[in-house]
Amino acid sequence: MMPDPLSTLPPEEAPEVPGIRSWGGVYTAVLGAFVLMVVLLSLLPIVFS
Amino acid sequence: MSALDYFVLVATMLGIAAYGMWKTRGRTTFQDYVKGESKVSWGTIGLAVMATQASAITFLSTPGQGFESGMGFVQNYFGLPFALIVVAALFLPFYRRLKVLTAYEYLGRRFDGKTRLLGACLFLLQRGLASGITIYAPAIVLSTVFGWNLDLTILATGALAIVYTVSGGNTAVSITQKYQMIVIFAGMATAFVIMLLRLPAGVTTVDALQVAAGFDKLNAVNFSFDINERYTLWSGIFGGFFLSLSYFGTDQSQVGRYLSGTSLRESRLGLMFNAVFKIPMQAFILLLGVLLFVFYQFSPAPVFFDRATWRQHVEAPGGETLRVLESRYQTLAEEKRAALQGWLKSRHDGSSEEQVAAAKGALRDAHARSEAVRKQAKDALRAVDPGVKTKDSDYVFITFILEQLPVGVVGLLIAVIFAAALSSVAAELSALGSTTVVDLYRHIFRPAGGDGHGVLMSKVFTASWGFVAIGFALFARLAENLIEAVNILGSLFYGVVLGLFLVAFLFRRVGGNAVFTGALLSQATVLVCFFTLDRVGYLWYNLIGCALCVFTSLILQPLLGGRTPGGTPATAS
Repeated sequence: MMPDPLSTLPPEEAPEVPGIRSWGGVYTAVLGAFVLMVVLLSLLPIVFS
Repeated sequence: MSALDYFVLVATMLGIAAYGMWKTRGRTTFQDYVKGESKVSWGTIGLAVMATQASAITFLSTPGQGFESGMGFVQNYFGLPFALIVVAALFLPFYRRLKVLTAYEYLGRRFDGKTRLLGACLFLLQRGLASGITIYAPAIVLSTVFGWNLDLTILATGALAIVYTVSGGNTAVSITQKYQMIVIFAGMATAFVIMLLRLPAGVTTVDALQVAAGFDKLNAVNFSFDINERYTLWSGIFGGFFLSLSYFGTDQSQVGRYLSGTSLRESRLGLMFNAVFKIPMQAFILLLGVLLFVFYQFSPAPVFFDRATWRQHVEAPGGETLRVLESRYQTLAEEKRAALQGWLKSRHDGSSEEQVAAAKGALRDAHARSEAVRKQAKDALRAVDPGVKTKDSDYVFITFILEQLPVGVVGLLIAVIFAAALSSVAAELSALGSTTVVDLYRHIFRPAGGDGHGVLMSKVFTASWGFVAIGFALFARLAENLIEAVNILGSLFYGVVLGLFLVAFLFRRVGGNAVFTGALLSQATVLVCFFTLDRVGYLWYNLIGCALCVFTSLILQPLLGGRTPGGTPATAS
């Protein structure tokens, strides 16, 4: 029988990224980089108009 | 190209390929050939994932997109960081826990054999055709550079890719991709710097960006909610999310890359590398295209960038009209350059706002006149030869490379395009061969042969898919824009495949019968909608296909039921 997929996940490994302790922190940092990029791209035509 | 260019090109390509083959020499186990040795670090995974996605199409078509339409295409990638986070957090742990060789093997273990076959077949159909377009793109380059027949060039390029892929296996693909990406980064950065240095004296980088903004080429983000607009922030985030989630989460050419990681941590960090750097990379390539547009406002530009096709028709009977239009275009381009210099001068010398606006208006009028002649030239070309492809944006960057870059750098840039092509084709053919052997051949026929037989059949199927890709590449010239053709093709199939996996991960009570029937109905609906409704942007089909598959599976489950492989009703798992 197929084991319950949600109960058989491997244990979480720490990301070992300087200054970030959890994977949630890594994902938050990635989303922050995305928002920053969208803001910069939005400002591009305004800055050089 | 000069002898030095040829040397740079051949030495780069053969050197990387030979290194990959040397590093994987003597490895014959089926596991190694299909999946790799599972000893790859996050940096290599990150570059391999990026190299697999960034094909030669990226480096030919994307600058052309920037040249024609500006930066807006970057929104197509806005869903990618969100998708990679979901893949890293949700998909990856399941794949690694069950030690699957392909993503579709997971479907078989979660549902049943027929659902595994459906997922694998949808992947093979979509990726098999897309790999044809991946081969077609560099063939354009080679046919332009060497003046070869395009069909023969496709055959030769495809054959080279097949030899490289079949001999290398999955580990060699990952190893070579790392070095191919290094060549790509170096080449694109060099082209960017040289282009800025080639701007006329007195025109700064800021001036160039202001010219780009003056032509609305820097408008990267469109906040419109109009569903009929092809690229908006919202279609990018939502449609792009489902396209990326399906591509990175369920496409074996990508799954194979990150499953080769040493650990879950390495695989996740490799994906996060792409989540952070993919959008800046695409923005950079589009900006390169935008600056190419600016460059050709100051320098003589051909009226039609596919020079070989243009010359062929100009020299043929009835080519007088084309010659007249070309001459008129060059005259108007001179007027436009004068208007451009006037606009820049008005900005620099502190003219009043009205004077600057008047100068900008004159520039826009001059641009409109020259663009009208460019359109007339394309119409005239089509009148002479109705079968000719008149969208020439794919030829913009290669024209710049061949006509403007110094000796040696031309070879490096051709190597960039070739490296990108090989890295993608290799990953695609390797994944197609692996999926055919693991999910079809071994699953259906269960042959008795050991590792040697598995490797042999993998090589046979990889080569066979290479021939299919070549066949499709011969028809790819019918598509108006290469990169869009790939994305449209992906959007039609990826949504349903993603739906299969989301049901598998998130809805434990749904069994194989319901999800299989739901997926078939959803795929049929998506195809009918695509061919009958022309008002829906193609990115939305990722969302539509996925939502339909999930919804119909949930509806059908009480009607059709379904059992898990162990014989226990799915609802009890």
